[in-house]
Amino acid sequence: MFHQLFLSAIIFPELFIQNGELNFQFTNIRLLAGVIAIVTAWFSRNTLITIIIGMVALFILGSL
Amino acid sequence: MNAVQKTFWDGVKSEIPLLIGVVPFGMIYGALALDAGLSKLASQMMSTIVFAGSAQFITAQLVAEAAPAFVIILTIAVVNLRHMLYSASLAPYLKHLSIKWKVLLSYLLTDEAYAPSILHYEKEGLQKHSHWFLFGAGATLWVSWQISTALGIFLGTKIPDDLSLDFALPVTFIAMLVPTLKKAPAIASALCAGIIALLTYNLPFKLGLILAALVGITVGIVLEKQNPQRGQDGK
Repeated sequence: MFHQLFLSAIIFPELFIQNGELNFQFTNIRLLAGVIAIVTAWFSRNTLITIIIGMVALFILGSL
Repeated sequence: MNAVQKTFWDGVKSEIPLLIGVVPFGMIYGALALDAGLSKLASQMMSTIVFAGSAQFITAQLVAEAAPAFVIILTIAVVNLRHMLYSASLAPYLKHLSIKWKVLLSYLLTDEAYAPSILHYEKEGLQKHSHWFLFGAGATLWVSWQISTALGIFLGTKIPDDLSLDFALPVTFIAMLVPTLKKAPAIASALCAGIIALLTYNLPFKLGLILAALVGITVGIVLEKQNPQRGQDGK
């Protein structure tokens, strides 16, 4: 339980904070890629697949 | 083969299926620790000294964020509290051992060595050479973790500097966290911890992290108490 909370407390700022400020907008590609990774993790329950999909998502969103 | 060897090899064999998940993870750790700014030696030594996957990933992240040492130590101490529960549940099978054995097995105790060992002990009961099973499982994991870390560090040096891997750590944390969130109280407390971490992001020394975890723990405990049935049925 404890390590889940620390993971969550690390993940949120990584996704929502850009250049020191909150960014909830669709231009925040780390947030979008993060949501894709969360959905992937929820349904696949597979660590490696989640990491791969999350990184690929960021790469694709970043090159759009 | 004598009884000691047989128990040891049973432990080794019980660990092998788990290595499919462990080895890629060790490689990812090695590459990301390097990317987070740790030296090659520090990245490898963390696998040797700390020898705990999630603690190592979190340390790498906190080093990258320049968190002070006391926050890193406090965080990792809390993250690894679960090992006390593992030790307590293994104690009936290991309490007769010498202090040397206990130190060695404590060092080798991880999630992945605990899982097959407790299953084995609950099935077979206490036997004369029981501790060799945990030793076999732990040693197998240890060797695999060291080698996969070294491979990851080697691969990390081959990744071009301009290819940013800094998103890989948060994605790894998502991959570690989300599949463990099954019960409503766990989901709620993780969400609260995340939101508090956002609100307290500007606090010095990464203290927001500690505050977020404390609030998350409180929310989790309150929800579990209010709704014990839902807490117990698992899904």
